[in-house]
Amino acid sequence: MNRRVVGAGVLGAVGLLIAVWSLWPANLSTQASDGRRQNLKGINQHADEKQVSQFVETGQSDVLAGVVDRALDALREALAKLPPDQQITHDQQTKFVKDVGQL
Amino acid sequence: MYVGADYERYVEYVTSHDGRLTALSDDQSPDAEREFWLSTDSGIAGNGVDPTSVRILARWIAGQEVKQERIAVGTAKIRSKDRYDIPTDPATGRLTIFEALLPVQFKWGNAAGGDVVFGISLAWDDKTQQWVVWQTAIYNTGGAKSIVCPTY
Repeated sequence: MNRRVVGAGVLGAVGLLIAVWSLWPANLSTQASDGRRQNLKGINQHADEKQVSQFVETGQSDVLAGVVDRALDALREALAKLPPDQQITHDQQTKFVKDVGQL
Repeated sequence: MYVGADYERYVEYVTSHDGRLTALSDDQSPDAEREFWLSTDSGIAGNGVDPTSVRILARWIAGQEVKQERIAVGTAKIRSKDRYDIPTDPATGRLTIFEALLPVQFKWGNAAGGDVVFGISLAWDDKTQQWVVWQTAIYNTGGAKSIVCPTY
């Protein structure tokens, strides 16, 4: 067997190993997890890694308080993107945040 | 009420906002309606939420649509024209609608779960001077293999 044939065989084996590694379930799972994290970051441009993974159990009063706190800031951010003639009243803002807190 | 699977609070919310419970026909018992609501809510009920990433988008201002970026690869939405006395078409009805987006973990039955965003759109009702639920939605941002419509 000449050297060229042996070299091609070695390269083929290395390529096969790389292909198997990239399709290994654990590796795919990591990619999927990273994808979810990136998607969630895309939803909230201000979120950092800590916030993105900050899923907490429901039914806790501090969770609901957190939603209300964040909703108020989020509403202000939404209104800041609108022109002056498309603003809503203070009463509407207060009632909106209260309703979101009942989610 | 939605993420906490609290049907009693849901009924209280709807009735306090002059809404009607219209999910089932009149001849079905309150228990059946409660079970139906809980079953449709089970995709997100009791699962983890991320309150720090709540986001709000303006969707319609006085009948004018506010263009927003696309946030999902798939969406399951539901709304009821009989729940509240507000127009169903936001343009002709000149509605103002804001949507709150809450990242939640979604799981339906035995299927694999994933991270999604629960959207609840509130429309301003000029007659009663209050916000009412106009639409609910599950936005699949790529984290879930499959999604279903949430309860309304």
